[in-house]
Amino acid sequence: MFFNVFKNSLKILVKDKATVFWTIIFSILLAVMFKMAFSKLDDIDKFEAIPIAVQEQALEDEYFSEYITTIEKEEYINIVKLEGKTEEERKEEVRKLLDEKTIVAFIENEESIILGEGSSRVEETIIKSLMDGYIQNKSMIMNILKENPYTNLSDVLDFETYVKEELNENMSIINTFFYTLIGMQALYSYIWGMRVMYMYEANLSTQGKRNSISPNDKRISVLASIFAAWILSMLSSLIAVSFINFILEINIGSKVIPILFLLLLGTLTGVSFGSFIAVSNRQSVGVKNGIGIGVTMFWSFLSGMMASNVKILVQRNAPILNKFNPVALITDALYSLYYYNTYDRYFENMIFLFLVTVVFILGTIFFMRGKKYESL
Amino acid sequence: MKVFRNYFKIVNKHKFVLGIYFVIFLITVILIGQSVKKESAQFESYRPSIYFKNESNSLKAKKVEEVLSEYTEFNEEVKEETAEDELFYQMISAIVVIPKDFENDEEVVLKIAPNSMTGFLVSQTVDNYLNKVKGYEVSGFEEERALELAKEDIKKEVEIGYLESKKEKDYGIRSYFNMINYTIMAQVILVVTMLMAIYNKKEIADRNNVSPLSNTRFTIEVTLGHLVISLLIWLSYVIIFVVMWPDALELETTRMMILNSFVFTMVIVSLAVLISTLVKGEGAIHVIVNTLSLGASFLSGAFVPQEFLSESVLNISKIFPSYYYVRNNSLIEGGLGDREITQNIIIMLAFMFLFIVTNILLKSRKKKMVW
Repeated sequence: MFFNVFKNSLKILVKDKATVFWTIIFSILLAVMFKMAFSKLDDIDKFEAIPIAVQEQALEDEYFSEYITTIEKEEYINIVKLEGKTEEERKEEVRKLLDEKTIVAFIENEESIILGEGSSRVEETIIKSLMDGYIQNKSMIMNILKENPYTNLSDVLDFETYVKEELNENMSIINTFFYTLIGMQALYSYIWGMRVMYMYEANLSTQGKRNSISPNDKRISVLASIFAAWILSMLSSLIAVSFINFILEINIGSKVIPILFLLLLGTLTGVSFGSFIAVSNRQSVGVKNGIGIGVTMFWSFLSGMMASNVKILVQRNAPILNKFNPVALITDALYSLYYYNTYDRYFENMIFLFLVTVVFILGTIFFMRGKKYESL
Repeated sequence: MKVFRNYFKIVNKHKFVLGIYFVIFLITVILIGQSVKKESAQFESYRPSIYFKNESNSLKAKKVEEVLSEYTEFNEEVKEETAEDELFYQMISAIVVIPKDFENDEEVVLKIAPNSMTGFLVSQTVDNYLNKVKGYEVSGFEEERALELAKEDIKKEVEIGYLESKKEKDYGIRSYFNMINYTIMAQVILVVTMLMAIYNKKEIADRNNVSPLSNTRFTIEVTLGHLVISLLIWLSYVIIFVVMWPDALELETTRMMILNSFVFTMVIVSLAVLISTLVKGEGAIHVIVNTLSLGASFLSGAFVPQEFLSESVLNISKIFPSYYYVRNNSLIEGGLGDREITQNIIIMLAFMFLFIVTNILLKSRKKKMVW
């Protein structure tokens, strides 16, 4: 009987086009939009030579000129040459270059710079910092020569780095949006869970009425149908994840088995969430759908789907929220597999996800048991 | 005005679903609005937010800590366990640790994203100071004096000037108004399409068709209902804004953004009515609401600023009214391009006209097919 119900449920669920759209195509569409929208996100903080212009007279000082040449050679700055022949023309040219953001700053002399409107504050600070460096070095040399006029200045100006950089190349913030998308997609399995419950709840569908008076063991039937829903959800997730990883070339990481287990549990969470919504209240089908979408969107928002910093803000101020947010748990598990070499965090997320699933399953059983209707 | 009154009875019946969406969106915009800062009219050096840990007791380490505290922001909310996450999510620019054996090695350990600009600022601050200390030490100065003199030297700054006076910017306002692009689109389209799906049900449509109320009068009253409910949605977001930023109402930029959002809301009402003509079925409504509102918002720069989107994405997003709405918010905030702002408003109104005309043509075509 289990296998018959399982087979028939599979056939029924697959024919539901709206559900297929929600669980597969919507996620793929969003993934494509993410890929398009976030293609430059990693470059926001990337260091590139900052374009500036320099007053010609300022370069007549050989030390200042040498300093500017050095920082240009090290690709901290990129000098844009002014073409104006008169002072007025050059002034106008500088205004235009600053307005169009072709340059970030204009160096008037070694002690004063002009900034434009609307440039990046980070770039402005870097330029200021580089120009500060020159006058600071000058001050240092003067202090030294006052006390010790015979100092070897090449020793004084032999700069080295005191910073040991530890870089982790796996630092692409774009990936986090896709992790939340995978989490959201797994939770969209709630639709399959709801569809299954509509088949067995007498007040929600004609099929439900028939099933509730059938002599079959309802527990086995529901279990078989839930299992069918879970298989379909898992397939949908695999399609979405494969699309993201292989077609859009977003690096999910190479830890295939943990990811598969995560998807298995995540989709079960989604299905159980859907079944819980379906049986736990007496609202119409439309309202239940609305609850499912609204809550899943909210969970996705708290996981950082629309603004990645929201996940960290929640982690700082109310970490307990995301411990019971299935989308956040899936997102965090994927992130930990990608970024860390250990599995501690992954297992922690899996445990919480399992707990959430158990709560939904127990809740579903609680609301399903012993239902009777006076009339339908 | 029976139809108009009945419209609100139907809205009242669906208040639970509409209420859920409203609360969710409300929390969303409040959280987004809180996370962005003001920029003052004077130049302020960017101070990267970092996680800092000093494991050394040496005097030099203490001085490095003092210098870093002046040029960066030690983020007290970040714990050692969460520092890596905060760095990955770009909430901090660097993890800086002065190790125990700093007195011997004189190496500060820095964890940053590869090739990061803000990370560069942090490493430059450390190198700048310690190179000056070294310069004094090789010239025969004692460590303590070298540390103090170097600290004095790094206080010297160039003068910053602007061609015109710099305007104060409140990025929170723009972020808020950009975010409500998504929430207004989602809510208005949801309400309008949900209600039209009810009116378009065969039994109800047939009854309305044989009623003594003319189709024109019916359409006017329903449209009035759409306008009122959409205005209420828009107004609720304006009220929330006023509560969160009461001082901002005095700024002209704020008033212009409010006007911009009003025009955008009217455009979305016309789009929603067109969608309700094209789309039947409650399941399909939710599909459209989420796909359109999320998609348009991502591609038009409501979530990720337009400055960070590629040219091709921006070109695609020009098919959405959201692009012109978000673009206007940037222009208004920057105090630039009055002409372009007006142009964009005209384009949004043109979208509204197009949606209305298309809806009328589709409806009259349907009537001809029925006859």
